[in-house]
Amino acid sequence: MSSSALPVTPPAEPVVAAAAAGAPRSSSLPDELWLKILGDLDYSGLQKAAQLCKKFKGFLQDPSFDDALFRAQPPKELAVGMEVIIHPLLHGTDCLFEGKHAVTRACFVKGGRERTAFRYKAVDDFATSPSCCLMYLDVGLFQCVRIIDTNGITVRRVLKGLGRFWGSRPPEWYVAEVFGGWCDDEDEDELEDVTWRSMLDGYDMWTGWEKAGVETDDDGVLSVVLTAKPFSY
Amino acid sequence: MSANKVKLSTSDQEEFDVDRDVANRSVLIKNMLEDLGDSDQAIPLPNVSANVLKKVLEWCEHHKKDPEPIAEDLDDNRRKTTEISDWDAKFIQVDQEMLFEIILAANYLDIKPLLDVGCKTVANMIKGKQPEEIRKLFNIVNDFTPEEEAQIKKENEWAEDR
Repeated sequence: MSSSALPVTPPAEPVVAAAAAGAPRSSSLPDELWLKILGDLDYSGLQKAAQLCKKFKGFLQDPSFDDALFRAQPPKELAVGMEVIIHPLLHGTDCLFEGKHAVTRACFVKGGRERTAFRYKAVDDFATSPSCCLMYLDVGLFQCVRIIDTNGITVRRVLKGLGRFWGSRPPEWYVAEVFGGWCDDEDEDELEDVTWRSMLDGYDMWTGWEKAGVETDDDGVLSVVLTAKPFSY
Repeated sequence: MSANKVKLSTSDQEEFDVDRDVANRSVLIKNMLEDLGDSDQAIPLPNVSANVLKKVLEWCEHHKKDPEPIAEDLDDNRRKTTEISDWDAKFIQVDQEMLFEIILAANYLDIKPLLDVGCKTVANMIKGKQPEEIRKLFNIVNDFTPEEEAQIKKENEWAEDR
């Protein structure tokens, strides 16, 4: 985002003068009205508006767009039941796994092209609106990933957190349950390297989020909870 | 002149006799009428031409029985979810020039619900179109260098309408 200052709203007088003289008015609106119009747009609509010209790009510096553009700093008061919007980059990101230990790329798949989410500036936007400092990712499999950042949790933090989780070792009882039946000595070495990712081999595509909301955690602290879509086996 | 009628005078010197409850949809006119008391004087509207006022009055006529809007929208952000009614959607199907004129007039005359309809309509036009189409429609000059434009496009390629 450019750091250019917001253009100054031109005075209304010229318009009045032109109209009074019976001259046709220019087909343009004062800045304050464009700001109002842009206020009706969501993230992708605003990003599109920013592509029109420098003036519009400058409009988006206005603090009234902070929520829609996922840059409003926490702490914003959270309340159970309030609406939480997930950043579209996070929403549209599938995690692909490279190597067997961890997620190393988060890809946004569009028109068959694969792009890592980390290459876009938006990855450093806050992950949700309202933003938060404490988040739980309910990834299914009875597992919850906890993410904390006192400066506010960004899309990057969530994707990295997910990466760490999929690269981590599941609890032993889970490993034993899955491999216990047929495991013999030859497989011992392989079992040492077991991660969530390797256990889900073949079903390793992150499929996005089912819902987002504000909940109270076990310590009574309000947090944002993102619930993953169930894996489709 | 009847107490229930109001005379409005446009920028191009046309006069309109309007029912008071219709004219009262405009907070500007309403306040002026209250200040003027019982006067036969025409209210000058130097910012509105006759063809635009005619259109605006059509809206006011249809909406004259609407309940008074709540003083101030406390949570302006929630506006996003309100839909445009069928009648309003049809009413606002005008060319872009007239659409902007209606928005300017609604802003000047302080008719918030009409201003909202106009602004939402423009926002919806932005949503469904490519940047080049929007620029053409609204006479916006692309002042980015090709390099800047390519950069912005690249940053946003993931966010394009799908």
